[in-house]
Amino acid sequence: MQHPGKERGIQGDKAPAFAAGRHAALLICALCLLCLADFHHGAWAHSVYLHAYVAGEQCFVQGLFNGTEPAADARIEVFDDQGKRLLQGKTDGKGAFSFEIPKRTTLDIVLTTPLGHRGQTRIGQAERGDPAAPSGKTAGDAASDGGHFHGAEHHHQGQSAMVVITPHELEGLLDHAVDQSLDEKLAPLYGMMARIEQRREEKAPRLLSGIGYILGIFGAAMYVASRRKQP
Amino acid sequence: MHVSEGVLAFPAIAAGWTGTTAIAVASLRAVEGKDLPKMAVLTAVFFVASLIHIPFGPTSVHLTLNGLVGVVIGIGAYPAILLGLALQAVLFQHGGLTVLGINGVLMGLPALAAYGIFRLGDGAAHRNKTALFGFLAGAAATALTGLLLALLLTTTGKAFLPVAKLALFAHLPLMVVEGLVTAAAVSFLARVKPEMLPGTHASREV
Repeated sequence: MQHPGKERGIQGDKAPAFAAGRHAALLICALCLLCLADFHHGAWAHSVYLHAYVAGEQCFVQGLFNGTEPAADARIEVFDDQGKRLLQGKTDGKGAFSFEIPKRTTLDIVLTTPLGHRGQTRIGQAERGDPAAPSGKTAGDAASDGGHFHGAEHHHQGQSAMVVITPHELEGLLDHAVDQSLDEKLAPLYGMMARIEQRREEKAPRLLSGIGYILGIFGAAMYVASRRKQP
Repeated sequence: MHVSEGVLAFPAIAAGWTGTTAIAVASLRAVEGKDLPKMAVLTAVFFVASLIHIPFGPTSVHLTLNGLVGVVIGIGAYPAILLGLALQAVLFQHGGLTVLGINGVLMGLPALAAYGIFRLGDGAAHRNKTALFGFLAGAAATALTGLLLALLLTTTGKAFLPVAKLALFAHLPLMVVEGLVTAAAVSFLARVKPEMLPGTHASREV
């Protein structure tokens, strides 16, 4: 191939090394900017992450590429702890799918995209909020822990010890109960968000370590090659 | 365009490993000591590029640059791609170790095809023609990867044509991007360091 700049590249007399170095520096800067821009939007990696949470008897799942882009039209399969498939379906345009929990057991939810990407998650007793689970307190259970509420409960049950509470106190009790209930319901979501954030933060050091491995492996190969050349 | 763990049956995985081992061994024989620094840089480029994704319609595609790796390294591109895929699987759970063989075939064979396409333009007297063959090599590698993926997914019971259409449609913008990146890179190399492009007159003169 007769390249116009061939002589310059080989002989190096017509094109100063400075020009080549400048072009290389520009190319490297452009690649770095591309990488930094992508970091900014958190658009790294191409794995599918499957998130699931339970509200009442309904389980909501969502498949996301890189934790942000919806995995639409993906197949969802739900398996019990014996590996038996309980149900299957497809995600909508937002990568979401919901189903009524078919069985009170540990559920493995598997998502497969049309082009072969796969994500998996597990819904256990704690996520379902079962009474046996440590974190499975219902809103009513949680509210009944409050001493004031005991008094109000006695009042409703018509017992002789009448406790009078003011509207202000009632408002405080209700706020407390609602906050506690919301905290419990949202706890899985908070955990999910924290895991997504953690995955993103882990990417940069892993990327650098990958490049380090590559340089190390090829460095070792070069060492071996140079030893073979020696007489 | 990686295939994930758990999607393919054992025969497909075994065939992938067999094919990858055979091609990687043959490919390694073509590697010379002087090619190693270039291979290291291109492996790092492949490793990083596959982590940059582009949202597109119902799916998400990511740069592969296997065409560029094939054009610049030549026959020795296969083990470089295999190493990049292995690190992606270990560090990012991107693909997987059991399907590394099949992913090697998916990404590596198109890289070798891209090298062949680029070699067709050997002797091009004009810089634009070099860029054109670079574009064709980069775009064709992506298209071939999509077609191989569709072919592979037929082993899971899917019909070839709908999946092939989806794979090609989903990777259409990526074909353009990969073609442009490869064209820009080979134009740059042809101008400042043509001996880096294997199989060309310049590299043979070195």
